[in-house]
Amino acid sequence: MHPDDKELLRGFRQAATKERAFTSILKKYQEKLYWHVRRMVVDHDDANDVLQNMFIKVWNGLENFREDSQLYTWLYRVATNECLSFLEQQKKRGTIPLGDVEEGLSNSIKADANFDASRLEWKLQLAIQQLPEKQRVVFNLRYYDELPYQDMSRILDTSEGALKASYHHAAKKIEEFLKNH
Amino acid sequence: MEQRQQIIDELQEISPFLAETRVSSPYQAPPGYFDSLAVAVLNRVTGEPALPMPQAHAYSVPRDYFEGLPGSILAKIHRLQENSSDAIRTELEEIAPTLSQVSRENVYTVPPGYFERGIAIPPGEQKAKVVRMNFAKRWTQYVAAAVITGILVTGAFLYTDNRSPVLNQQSQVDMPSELNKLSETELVKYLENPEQTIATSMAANETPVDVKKLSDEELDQYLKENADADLFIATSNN
Repeated sequence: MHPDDKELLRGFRQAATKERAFTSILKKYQEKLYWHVRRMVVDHDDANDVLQNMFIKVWNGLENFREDSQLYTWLYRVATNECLSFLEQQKKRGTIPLGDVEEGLSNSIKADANFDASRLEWKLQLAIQQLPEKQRVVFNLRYYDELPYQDMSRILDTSEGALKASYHHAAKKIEEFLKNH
Repeated sequence: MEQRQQIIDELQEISPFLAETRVSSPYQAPPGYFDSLAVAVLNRVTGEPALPMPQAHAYSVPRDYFEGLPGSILAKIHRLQENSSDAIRTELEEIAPTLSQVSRENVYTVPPGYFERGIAIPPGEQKAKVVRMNFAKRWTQYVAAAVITGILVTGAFLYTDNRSPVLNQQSQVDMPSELNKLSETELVKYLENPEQTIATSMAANETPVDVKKLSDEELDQYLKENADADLFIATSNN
């Protein structure tokens, strides 16, 4: 069983227990955050880089974390920002042609060793990559992570109404894609 | 559960097709899925707000990836910290090799328990009250500033151009026309003896003083103040 977040944060703020507390936080949230990142950047190596960088930022910033929000919403926020920055950097570096991010990510999906075009879950992944980045985050957080709009609002700093509308549009577009492919 | 049902109902409303697909999708649970599910259930039992378990996904990770992840991230953090201090050390070695040999140990000490107590502000040294200037006071200061500026500008003007209009008028006397007004006799007299002509003219302009009207005290006072003049008169008489 993972220790309570408050206890972990207390441990992190003491030099003697800092590393142990950080390891516990990492173990507690690594899988959820990994899948959140992986669904955004698709490739495992990229996800690993983003996740490691994200946790380094957590290490540097956790002492200043104010406990007026839950730890996991803050971690999701850092992870989401790191994903979006990574995708932005890829555009700037020309790794993915400008305005062609979705196609690049679709190619990454198709390049996965386990990819099976006939399986619906892979089709669903291809459909999700057609969405604009922010809409993709909203859909993933709601559909896969099953987060309440209230928490999503804190993570994405967007009103609940806007998130509902965004999720609605995303689901419609995905449905359309799945019906046509 | 309520949250999940709410999400399913919501998706049913938006896209019945997608909701149906979701329910019947043949996902495989990834390795370790049930272990983490047990943790989430236990967290709920103990009252901690637990995150719902993620949906099954098509991606996979290398074997033992999560076991090694904390260690590799901590190793990376240590490496970054070492690189950072190495760079500072190398920089100092280049700039000042002698200084880089000196120990960085802190020589200062603080009273025991200083940081635990926190920094207390004595009652007498509390933050000073900020008093805002009122409008009238500010307005008076603006007026004073304007007056001083005016004085300075006027002074500067007078200093650089201190010739009065009267003097300017005198300097602009038309000499040829004034000379034309003089008679020939006056001009000849001036040319024959210019010094005496000027002296006569000056004497004519002086206001005559009637000495008889002056009192004895006034005369004594005049003689005391003008001892040299007295001497001069005596000499000239000799």
